Amino acid sequence: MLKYITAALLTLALFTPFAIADTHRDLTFSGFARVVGGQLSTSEASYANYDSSWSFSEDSLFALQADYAINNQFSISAQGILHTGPDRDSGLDWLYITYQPSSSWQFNAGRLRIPVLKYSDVIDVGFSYPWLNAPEQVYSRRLFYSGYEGVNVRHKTQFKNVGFDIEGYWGNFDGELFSGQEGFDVDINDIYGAVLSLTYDGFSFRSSFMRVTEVVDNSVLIDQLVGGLTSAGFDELAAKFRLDDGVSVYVFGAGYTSLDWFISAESMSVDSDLDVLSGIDSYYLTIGHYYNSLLFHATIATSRQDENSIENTIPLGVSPLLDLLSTSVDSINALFPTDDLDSLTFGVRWDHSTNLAFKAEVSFLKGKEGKTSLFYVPPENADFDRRASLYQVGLEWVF
Amino acid sequence: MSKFAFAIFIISFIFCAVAQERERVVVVAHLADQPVSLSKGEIRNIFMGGVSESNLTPVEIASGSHIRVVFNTYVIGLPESRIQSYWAQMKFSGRNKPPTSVGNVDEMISYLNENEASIGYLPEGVELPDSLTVIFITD
Repeated sequence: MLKYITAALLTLALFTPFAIADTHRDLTFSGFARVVGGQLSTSEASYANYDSSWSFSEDSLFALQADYAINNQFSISAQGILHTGPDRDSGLDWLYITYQPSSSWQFNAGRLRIPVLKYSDVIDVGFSYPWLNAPEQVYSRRLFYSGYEGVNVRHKTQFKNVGFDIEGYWGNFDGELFSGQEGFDVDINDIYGAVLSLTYDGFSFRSSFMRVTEVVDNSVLIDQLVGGLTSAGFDELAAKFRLDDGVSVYVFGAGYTSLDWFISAESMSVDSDLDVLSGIDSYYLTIGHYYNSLLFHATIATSRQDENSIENTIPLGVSPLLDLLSTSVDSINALFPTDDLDSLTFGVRWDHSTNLAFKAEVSFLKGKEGKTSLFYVPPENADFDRRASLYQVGLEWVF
Repeated sequence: MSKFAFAIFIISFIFCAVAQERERVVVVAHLADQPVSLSKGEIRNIFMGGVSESNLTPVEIASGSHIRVVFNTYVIGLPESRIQSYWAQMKFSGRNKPPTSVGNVDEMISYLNENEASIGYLPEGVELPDSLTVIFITD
């Protein structure tokens, strides 16, 4: 379907009169880069891939964007990103055609980013937000800044002094559904969502909805467990481990920005039909004060994840095979995240020039013992108290 | 306090008040035909990438210019760093691009003069060609 839409848009673009095209045809390059270093105060666990030794490779990246205007209504854009982090592959993160028939309508088709949160489609463009590390409780879930192949429609309008921005998107996505101690490889067929933004004077409101309708499990680990449970007659339990249902995400954000200060918050609620991935509620609230080219900011953030409802119904001591199956149920269930975490972050951003900023920040993290709390805890440190501090410094550049 | 000291106090107070009087910026447009009336909020929306019934295309003066600072302060109401980070977000998510930028006040006047349906800003008191109309003056 997407191929046909893209082909149709390209054909339309090429047949648009060249008289218009000649005056607007041009190719422009721009880009951004970030160098971010960080260290965690503990050696018992890691957090956002940082551990007790200083590392500059987790979030640093370089990106180049090319925009080619075919005529005054059609353009093609590509954005390639080189990552140094272990979780991300380098490559073309954006590749899309834009059709903009007027200043109030915009249609995009191709490889795009999911815009569920305020910064989820620009999470790599650190220059666009105050922190070095956007609040993990809300922004960590890889799904929310994944690329998708699909279409996106945007409409802007204004009523008196209120600006409205409405956006709808639909597409497919292939990748990991959740971050946690383990990633589970899944395909997502059909993802759709909508965003409504309002701006009035310095105030902004944003609400966003996203629905993943179908998850297809490619995880060998899950497949083996489901196979084992089914052949042993535990069909009900097997059904609970099947990653074949949907997920809904609701986001609400609000903010106010003036010459001297800003306040901004987003809350997110994830409702899952998957038995293994229970619901998550999270939010952050940031206040910042501008002082000349300096920005001082503080953020509180929280996430609460419900315990999943899977009850291990396999009786123990009946046979060694059932005992093994029961242990597998417990150990695989333990791999699913239970991300309860509170944090307090203080940071400073210095805009050295209009395209270069330096940042420093510290986050105090307080999780819950026995839960994943967004930490990676090796089995030998299971009694780690889930408390740590993350120190980061970095620079953000756009060109 | 002697009368003399009091007089000095009053005079210096008046001088301070005069010195601190706000510098004003005029928002001007090259209108096609019909007159246009825009509020500060509407002008802000136009310069921040919003749409407007007036269909005017914004033009800004490059950063580093004093009049840009005055305009950002009294019309947009945001610090320069916030405006730059906003445009980085718009540009790299394919949403929008910042307004066309010119180097200085003279370039702004000639750009507006040559481009119908454009809107820009200038220091108060600058002589305007007949094609340009003042839309808004800051307090």
